[in-house]
Amino acid sequence: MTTLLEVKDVRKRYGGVSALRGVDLSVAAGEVIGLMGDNGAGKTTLMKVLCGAVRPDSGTISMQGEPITLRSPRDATAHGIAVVYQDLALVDQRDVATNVFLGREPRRSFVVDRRRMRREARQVLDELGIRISSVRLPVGGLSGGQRQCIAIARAVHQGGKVVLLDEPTAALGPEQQANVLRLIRNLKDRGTSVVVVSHNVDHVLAVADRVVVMRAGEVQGIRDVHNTTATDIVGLILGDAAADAIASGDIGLPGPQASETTNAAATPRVATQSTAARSLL
Amino acid sequence: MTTTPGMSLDTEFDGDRAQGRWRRLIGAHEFGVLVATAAIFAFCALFVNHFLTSENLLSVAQQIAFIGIIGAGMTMLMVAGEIDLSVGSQYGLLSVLMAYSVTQWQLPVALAAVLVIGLGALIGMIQGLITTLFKVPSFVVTLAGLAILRGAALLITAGQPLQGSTSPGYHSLVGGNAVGSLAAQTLWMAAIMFGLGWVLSRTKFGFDVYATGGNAKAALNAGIRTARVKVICFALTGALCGLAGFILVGWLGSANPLTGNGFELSVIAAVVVGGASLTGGVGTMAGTLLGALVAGLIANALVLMGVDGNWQQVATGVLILAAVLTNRLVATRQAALH
Repeated sequence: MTTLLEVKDVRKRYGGVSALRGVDLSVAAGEVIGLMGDNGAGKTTLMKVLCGAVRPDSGTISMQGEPITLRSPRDATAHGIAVVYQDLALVDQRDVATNVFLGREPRRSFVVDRRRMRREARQVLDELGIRISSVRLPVGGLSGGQRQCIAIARAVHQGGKVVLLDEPTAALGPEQQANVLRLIRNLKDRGTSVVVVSHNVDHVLAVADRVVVMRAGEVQGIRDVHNTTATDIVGLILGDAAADAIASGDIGLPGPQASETTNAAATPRVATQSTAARSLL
Repeated sequence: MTTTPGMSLDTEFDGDRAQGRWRRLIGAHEFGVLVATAAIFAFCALFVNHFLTSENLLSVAQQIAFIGIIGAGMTMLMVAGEIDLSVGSQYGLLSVLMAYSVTQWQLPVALAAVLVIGLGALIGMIQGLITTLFKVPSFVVTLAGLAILRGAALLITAGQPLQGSTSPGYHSLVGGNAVGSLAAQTLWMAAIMFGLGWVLSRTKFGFDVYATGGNAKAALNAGIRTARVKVICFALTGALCGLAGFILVGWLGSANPLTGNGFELSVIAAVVVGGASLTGGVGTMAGTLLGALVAGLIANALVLMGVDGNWQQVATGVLILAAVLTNRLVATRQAALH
């Protein structure tokens, strides 16, 4: 597989805090990357750098081998990097077709070609296997999963070669989560690359090719999903001592070992992740 | 991937076809005001003497002309998620300036018209810029504008009405009758509402207005310059206040500094009764026209029945409440339909 997006030695400081301390990441065409890490690990900053919302202090980003500069989200979109924002993507009062084309409506001179919009929106939905009964429905009345899918469809339709998803399955019911995960697999089949930020190990292992785990602004480890386990990933997220604790079955509420290796703010998350991991073991 | 071979590109997927006309109508935000207009019209036609004459109906159409013209701008502004409380004062000030510039400055009528319309656009633009740059709610900015501009109108005229132009060409352009009893103002209103209705519902700019009012963050993320969209809507509303002033002065031949006092409420009432939402993203020009029409019909019927004029105010208030409640009902039913 050819490398589509490549990030080399990207660094970013906010005042005295190093959010990114030299991050390398490569995304191949048609690859799904699961980006994981605890709160404050630097995932969000990395995503913001990739979508042009934050400018890194140093480091290079290249697309298909060409170095690119991302000054704004507009630049990122122009280079084929599309980000799907959680709950910030859709206009509820407008219909599905209008939302798929938001900001880029096809026109015949001044007039918006609404027929073409509906037709193409339907094609995109069909191609991606998104089930919505009519493209004339206002999106406000649709389910959370359908809304998430429409937002993703827009990113793809507007030329996204790499789609960045921030917690796409959070706040969705199980069935809706399954729909979104299926959509991610469909994107991969079409050759679109996807970077999924998620806290859910199961979801990441279900759709990703590789899992990139970040900790304290650095890439802690990269794992092929076929050669890893949830425990392994959780271990990377938490650090070695905590991983040992999980392996020895000494888990539950953060014990002395766990709190030694993770900062205080992260402890509630440790408990959740550990429980999640145990349920998989 | 799943496109069936042989399926022509023009065919729409079954589910995407427009729903039945009747069902679409019932789901529309304008449904409430449409029913109200029809009901009031039927009532008046049956029980009010002299209502169902072309003279009377055309005079109703003339009476709502100014609400319709300024309401066209207000519709776009409210769909964009903003409001302009200063339209009455702008209308008053610009009427006074129109009269002032043709009599005191001896400007040609055309130049004076360009001046007041341009000034209206400038006033709107300034209010829009203050709203968007400093993130002050437009309700507050234009409330200040309401006071400042009314004060300015009274200062310029020392509180006295001004004589306007006596040019017969000007008068017939804006104050005459086009055909029979069809007033020129009615045609001005029709042209403005049709034109801006087309802009709002069909053009890229109109789509941007809906997106801006519906979800400003989503619109921004989609590359729409929401601040610019809003400022343009403010400027447009101001320009229409200037146009209304131009028409009024030509029609009456004079200008009163108290012109348009409280007019903002009539305009906002028409837009809201027409189905627009104060939170933005919803509203149409057709709805606003019906909103203005239903208020005009009620006022007309009350006059014809010889009811005390103050009941008009009460009726308008009741109408607003009824319209908003109907819209709420339609919204829930619309959700249930799908």
